[in-house]
Amino acid sequence: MARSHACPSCGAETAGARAALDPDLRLMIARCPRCRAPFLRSKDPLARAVRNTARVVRSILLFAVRAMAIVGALAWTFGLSHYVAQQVFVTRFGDWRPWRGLGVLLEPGDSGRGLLAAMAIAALVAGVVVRIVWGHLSALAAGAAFISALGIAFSIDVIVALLEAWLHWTDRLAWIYTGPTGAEWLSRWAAAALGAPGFILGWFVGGAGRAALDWDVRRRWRRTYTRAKRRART
Amino acid sequence: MTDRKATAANPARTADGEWVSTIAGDRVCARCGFNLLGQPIIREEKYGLFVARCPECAAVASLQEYPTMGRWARRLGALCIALWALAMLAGSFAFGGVLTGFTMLVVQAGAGPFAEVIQEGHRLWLIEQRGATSQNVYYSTAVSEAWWLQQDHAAMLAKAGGASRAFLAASGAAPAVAIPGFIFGVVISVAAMHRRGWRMALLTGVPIAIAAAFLSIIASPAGSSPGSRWATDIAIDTLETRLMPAALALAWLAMIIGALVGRPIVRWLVRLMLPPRLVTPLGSLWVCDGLAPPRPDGARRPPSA
Repeated sequence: MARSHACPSCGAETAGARAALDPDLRLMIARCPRCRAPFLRSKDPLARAVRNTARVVRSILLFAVRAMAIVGALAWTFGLSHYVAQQVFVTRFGDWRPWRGLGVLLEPGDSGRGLLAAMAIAALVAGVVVRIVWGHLSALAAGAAFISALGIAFSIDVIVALLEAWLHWTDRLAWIYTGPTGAEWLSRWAAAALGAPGFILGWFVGGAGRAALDWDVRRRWRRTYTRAKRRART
Repeated sequence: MTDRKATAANPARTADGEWVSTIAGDRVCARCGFNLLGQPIIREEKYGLFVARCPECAAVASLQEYPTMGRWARRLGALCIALWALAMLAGSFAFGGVLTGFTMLVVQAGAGPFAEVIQEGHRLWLIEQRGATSQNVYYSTAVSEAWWLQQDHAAMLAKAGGASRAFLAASGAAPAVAIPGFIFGVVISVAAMHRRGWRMALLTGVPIAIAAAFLSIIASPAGSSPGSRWATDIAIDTLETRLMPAALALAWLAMIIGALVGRPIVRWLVRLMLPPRLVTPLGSLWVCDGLAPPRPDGARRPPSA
């Protein structure tokens, strides 16, 4: 909303009057809509600088908060995927491929169900976080971004092991790779895939949460609710 | 502020317009901060507004809205500039210090094979001197300086595979300077938004120069005890003149690449993490490269002509 200004000549409200830069004086000049008297409209440079700085700081802080939220969701998902992959697929069956670990997870009386529940909750939380942070992206783009970020998280220890192997090779001329194997790496994806339904549910829950945080959406809801109440009364 | 009317002694007209009064209080020029006390108040001819012209910078000062800028605004501005300059200086020294440490790591990795050859030669010499078996010789990396001075250094280096082997061993630790160098380049590209292209690339040389100064200070030989030195130190002393410039050059190259691609990466990250409404205040990241600033509605503008 425009700021209120009174005409110095007749006192009329001139908030709607548009100021234009005068090429000769290099000043913003507006004209009173009632008496046509010209007057200056200049913003206080100090206040403007403070406002602009506050906006930049807010954007930087929100960038940091959102990045931390995404990193948290990634860490949570990565930790559980790694644990489930190691405990269920790799340790017991050596591999993920025949999906034999699923039987363990669904077996009654086994701790596998607890792991599955933890995986679902992690994926739900990740879905909520992704929707709130990346809600400005399309569902496809946000999903692709999260899967890419998860891929990077899953590959960090592979990259570190490759760097170590490279360092060892240059020193001893022997290639020694101590990172996760391909089967282990794929087992993490298989474990993460178990949380996919939870992630999709979290996406919709996050959408509702995001809307609840939005003032415009809340106003639309209030109006709809008031109209419905009025209709019910009449 | 009180204004004094023009007297009969003063001329009633100036080149700018009708002289109606004189500024009799403190009023600073909004552009240069000069005090306009004593300047004539003129009714300019185009709009009939009361204005004064600054005698220092010739800017027209509006008199109907008093600017709240004063001496404190200038002081605050100077303080901000000083703090920024200090932060940049401290950052350059911090980057230089970190690069010094990682460069030493690379040099140490490169000197490793040569250090092993020195150590083995010294061990054999000790066995020969004492007439003992290899099991009885205390395994230590400390090497007698007298023994080292008698050796053919070039032949020992050749036995270790020469400089090419040292460079190969150093390349294993190259990511230790390349990765931080790239990150520092990205940081510099955002911190120095007033620079573009090769001028910004040159700016990355400041931390490199600081690192080079640090390395020249710490490159002096260090002894483990009187008359003896560590084999690694001897190997580093022999190879540092070749490995240090190479490691620093790699760090600089990574910094230049980071500086050149840094701003597009940051812009992409900002667009990824923030909705368009919050991207707009960071529009200087676009403007500094001559791009159209992002719009609050998220719509892309056609490239500026």
